[in-house]
Parts: sequence; structure tokens; C-alpha cells
Amino acid sequence: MLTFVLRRLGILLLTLGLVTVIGFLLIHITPGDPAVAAAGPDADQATIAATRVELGLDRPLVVQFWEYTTGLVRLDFGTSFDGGRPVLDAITDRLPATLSLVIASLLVALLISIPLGVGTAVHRGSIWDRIGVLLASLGVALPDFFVGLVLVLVLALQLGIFDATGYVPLFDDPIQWAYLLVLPALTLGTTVAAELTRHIRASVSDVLELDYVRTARSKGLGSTRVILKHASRNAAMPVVTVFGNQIARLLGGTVIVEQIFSIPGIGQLLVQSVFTRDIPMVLGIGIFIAMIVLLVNVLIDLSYGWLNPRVRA
Amino acid sequence: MNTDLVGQHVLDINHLTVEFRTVSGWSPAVRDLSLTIGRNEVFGLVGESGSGKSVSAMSILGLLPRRGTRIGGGHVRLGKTDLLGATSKQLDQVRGSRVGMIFQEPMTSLNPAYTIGEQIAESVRRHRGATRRQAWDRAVSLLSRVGIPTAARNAERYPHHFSGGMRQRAMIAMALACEPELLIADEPTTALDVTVQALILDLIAELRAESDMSVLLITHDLAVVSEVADRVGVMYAGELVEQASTADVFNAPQHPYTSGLLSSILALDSTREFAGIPGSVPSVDREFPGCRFADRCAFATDACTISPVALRRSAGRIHRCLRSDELVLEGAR
Ligand SMILES: Nc1ncnc2c1ncn2[C@@H]1O[C@H](COP(=O)(O)OP(=O)(O)O)[C@@H](O)[C@H]1O
Ligand code: SF4
Ligand SMILES: [Mg+2]
Repeated sequence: MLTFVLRRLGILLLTLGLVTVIGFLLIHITPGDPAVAAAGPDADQATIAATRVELGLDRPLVVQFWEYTTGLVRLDFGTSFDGGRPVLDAITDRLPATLSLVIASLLVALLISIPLGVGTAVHRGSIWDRIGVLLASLGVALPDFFVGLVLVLVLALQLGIFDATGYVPLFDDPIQWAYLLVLPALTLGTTVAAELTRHIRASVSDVLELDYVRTARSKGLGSTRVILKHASRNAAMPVVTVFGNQIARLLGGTVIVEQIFSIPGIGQLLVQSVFTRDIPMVLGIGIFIAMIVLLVNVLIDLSYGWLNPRVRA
Repeated sequence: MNTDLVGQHVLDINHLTVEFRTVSGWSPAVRDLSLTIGRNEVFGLVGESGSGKSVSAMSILGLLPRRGTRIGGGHVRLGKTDLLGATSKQLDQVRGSRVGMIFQEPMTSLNPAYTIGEQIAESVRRHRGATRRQAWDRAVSLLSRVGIPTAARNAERYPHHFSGGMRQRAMIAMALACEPELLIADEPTTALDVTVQALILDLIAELRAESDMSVLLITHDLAVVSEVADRVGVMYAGELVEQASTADVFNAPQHPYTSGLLSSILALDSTREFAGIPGSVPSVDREFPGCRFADRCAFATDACTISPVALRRSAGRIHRCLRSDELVLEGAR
């Protein structure tokens, strides 16, 4: 088990290094001069040149890269071009809002997909199964956020409930926090729910056909126990993989949803930083999000060991 | 064997018909099956693959898929309990408690995600209301009883650590966890090596001898029943075609199908294929005007294909052949 974990962590670090290189090159190669942006709209040539030196942009790319990566190892993501604020500070400031959105969306996705996926699998071929499958296929086929945005239209604009946008920190006002998260979480969560439902249904109905489920039934365990204990753990394996991919998708989705609902999260910060050509900020956010995605994947890999004892060997 | 206990019926299957939905409507995979199993008796149910043995066994405990399956008629009683009319809650009190079941594939019949011990213990907890500790101890002693070495340690291992023979022993321990009245063993040795087969059969015979448990032993291999069964029922295309004591069936079969099965186990190449009978079992939606075996039977006459052949009884034996009186069929001894 230990070597399994170490190997996973090794792969994680390697991937992270790769992400850094690619991100760094991509941003520095794209046209447009960050020094122009950093110097401000009315700056003359001299000011721009001075800014360039001040930000270290005049040095060779290799040197810049070396400084940046050695900083990363010390968890120093550099400082923002815009005001000189440490990038990590800016990110952690906005982390609670994004985290709230992501967790609420996951909750929505799971609360919809687990009952729907398991229910349709257990009652396969019934009218409820067909309705469930239809809904899930629609959700998958329609563009991201479409279902969520229709819900917004109905709930906010037609019915007038949940009609506010914005964000209130959890500890300031928990009720307002939850209230404001409902719509964005629905927008982000329903897309993921559709994808998960399809996978849960497929996986559970496959597992329900297996011999050991029949064995469990032959022991008189009762259908709830058969499904929850004997089927779910093995059915979870493929679903957990999809779940991991969906988390990456969800994090990407926050960029748009935070814009729509004026949530001061990391996604919003990213959009702003791109417009101001704030290279350290854009790169920092990219690497930070990559770190989270990779960490989630490691956790998911580890969960395989728990779900399936054969992986542990 | 506790012969004094033989005689009381533990299982009573009466005119059971089980149907599957096929392209041509509801087709019976089991037709009008009747058989009884006495206390402490081993009843062997044999027939080629596809003749309806597993479907019969699964319908006893209501394990057939609910969709696309229906009971066309008849009843199944375990002692005084009507099993076909039972609710799923009532069935769950019988499954694993009064009836234990083991299946052909020990490889896939155990859940890979739980330890062997847990999969036995959960049944004890469910039916006996035992604590975790008690149930685990019982699992360990059962494993040791079915011949698993260092049972306490092996109980904590997962199915993938076990060999096929050990898995099947574990399955038996699981089926016997609550001392059932009836053990249903559906092809318990088919997936195993020949040497392991004999050991598993010995184990089943031993366990029967030391309790008053009855056994429904299902197999396509007559050699298997010859060693342990008291009585034998032969199934063909969903129907019982012959039923008698094991000795009678082997010495003097009354149905050409039985005779064909016997000749194939004697075949020198011993691949256990049914070399003795040309053709194969018809699919469930095939209809026949007369004897369902006629198109494969070497003794068929025109009379055989006119109307369905009913079961006939004589001297404690049952068969379904029009010509049994005139035919002298080859046995195995
Ligand atoms: N779920 C099912 N749906 C349709 N047909 C089935 C199903 N299960 C079994 N059958 C058919 O019923 C017949 C008897 O099968 P089975 O009882 O498994 O035979 P065996 O004697 O080999 O155990 C076979 O023709 C099989 O194809
Ligand atoms: S009834 Fe006729 S066809 Fe059928 S088994 Fe007997 S002899 Fe053969
Ligand atoms: Mg079978």
C-alpha cells in the first residue's frame, strides 16, 4: 500500500512539473506585452521599459522560469503585476467562494444522480427508467449550463424566488450563503448530474446481473442491503473515475458561473487577470487548479484500493 | 445415513411451470415439474445444459429476474411454507436460513470487495441476530469444518486469495451458516478440477450425514450424482422425463434420454460430452406435437409424435416414454 501511495505521489509531482512548463511557455509565447498592460494605459515608452525591468521581464526566459519554479517549491507563486500582491494570497482570499460553489454543485449533482441512477438501474425497463434515461440523455446532449440556465429563468425571472446574485461568506450569514448558492449550484450541478446518472445506471445495472449479487440475494439479505452493501461498492469503481473527471469539468465551469452570478471566486479572478495580462496571477491560478485536480485524482486512485481489495496487492 | 428420517417431505414441487418472455410470447423453460425431496435425502437433478435445471432451482427461492419471467402454474412448498406465494420479505427469511444455495462459479459467486469471513458472518448476523463477534467466530468454525486450513487467518482474506476449490468450500460454509433444512447445489463441481470435484462431493456427503439436511444436487454430469444421490430426476427440455432411485436409474433406465446420458459417461474418451445423443436441447420456444425428445430419439416411431407424452408411473418409478415397456435400454452397470 505504501509503495502504491508513493508511486502515485511521484506521478503527481511529475505531472505538476509538466503543467508548469507548458503553462509557463504558453503564456510567455502568446502575443501582447504584459509590461504595456502593467505600466498602465497612459504610460510612455520609458515607463514601459522601466516596468519591464522592474518586473524582470527583460531577462532570458530560462532565468525567469528557473526563478519561478524554485519559488513554487517554497509555495511562492510570485507577485501580481497588478499591485504587487502575492498571488497565493489573492487565490486563498477567493478560495472559500469557489470552494462553496464547487461543493454545493457536487452536492446537487450527487443528490440528483445517485437516486436517479440507482433507481433506474433497479427498475430497468420500467416507465420510470425510460423517463430517467431520457432526462439524463437530454442533460448530456444539451450544452453545458443549459438546463441550469433554464432553471434560473424559471425560478428567478418567472417565479421570483432565488432572484439575487452575489455571494456572502458562510460565517457572515449561513442562510444567505446557502440561499445565494442555490442557483449557481443548480446551473453547474445539473450538467454533471446528467453525466453521472448515466454512468451510475450503467454500472449498477451491470453489477446487479453479477453472480455475487445473486449469492447475496440467496442469503436473504434483503434488496436494500444487497444494493447498498454488495452492489454499490463494486458499481462505484467506474463511477468514481467519471466523478474525478467531472470535478475537473466543474472547476472549469466555475469560471463562467462565477461571472454569471457575480461570485468573487477564483474563476472571476482568472478572467480579470487575463484581461490585465497579469502573467503571474494567470499562471498561478492555472497551477493551483491543476494541483487540486491532480490531488482529487490521487484521492480517487486511493479510493480504488478501498473499493477493490485486489488493487491493494 | 439417517434412514429413519427419510420419508418426510422437506421440499415439495408440484406442477411447476416457469415461463420466459421470448420473441414468440411466453415460453415455458420448466414444464409441469413435480418432485419431492425427503428429510436428509440427496436428490440429484440431471440433464444436459439448457434443460431447465437452474431455472427450477432458482424459482424455488424466487431468484429469477423479475422482468421477463413468470410462474405459469404450480406450487413450491418448503415444509409448510408456500414459497411461490411468499412476499419478498418472507422469502428473505427462508433464503440463507432454511435453504442454503451454492452456485457453479465459485470464482464469481463471491463478492471481491469483502472478506470471506464477512460474507459468511453477515448471513449469521442477519438470520440469527448474532453479534459481530459471535458471527465471526461462527464463520471461522464453519470454514474450518469445510476443510479450510488456518481458518481464523483465511477468514480475513479476500476471495481472490483463494483457489477455486477453496472458494467452493467457502461457498458451502456460507450456505450452511444457518444450518438450513435444504441445500441447493447447482453444478457445485462443474467449474473445478476432477480431483477437487471428488473432494467437494465427499464434503457434501459428509455434511449431509452429520445433520438432517436434505440436498438438491444439480448437475449435467451423471457421474456426480451416482456417488452421492439417493434418488435421481432426469430433465429434458424443461420436463422431467424419468425419476427413480439412483440404482434403478443406473441399472435399468426407462427413458432413451437417460440411457443416452449413461452411455456418454462411459464413453472412453471421457470428455463428458454427450457423445451418446446426437443433436442438442431445443430452445424454450420450440413447440413439439408429441414427445419432446422424438427428433433425437433412436427409438422414435410415428406414434411418438402425435400427442404430448404424459408421465407414467410403475413400481415407484416415473418416466415419460411411450415405448418403455418394449424397449430394453442400456444401463451403466
Ligand atoms: N433469464 C432468462 N431469460 C430467458 N431464457 C432463459 C433465462 N434463463 C434461462 N433461460 C433459458 O431457459 C432454459 C433452461 O435454462 P437453465 O435452467 O439455465 O438450464 P440448465 O439445465 O443448464 O441449468 C435455457 O434454454 C435458457 O436459455
Ligand atoms: S416416447 Fe418415443 S420418441 Fe419419446 S423417448 Fe420414448 S421412444 Fe423416444
Ligand atoms: Mg444450470
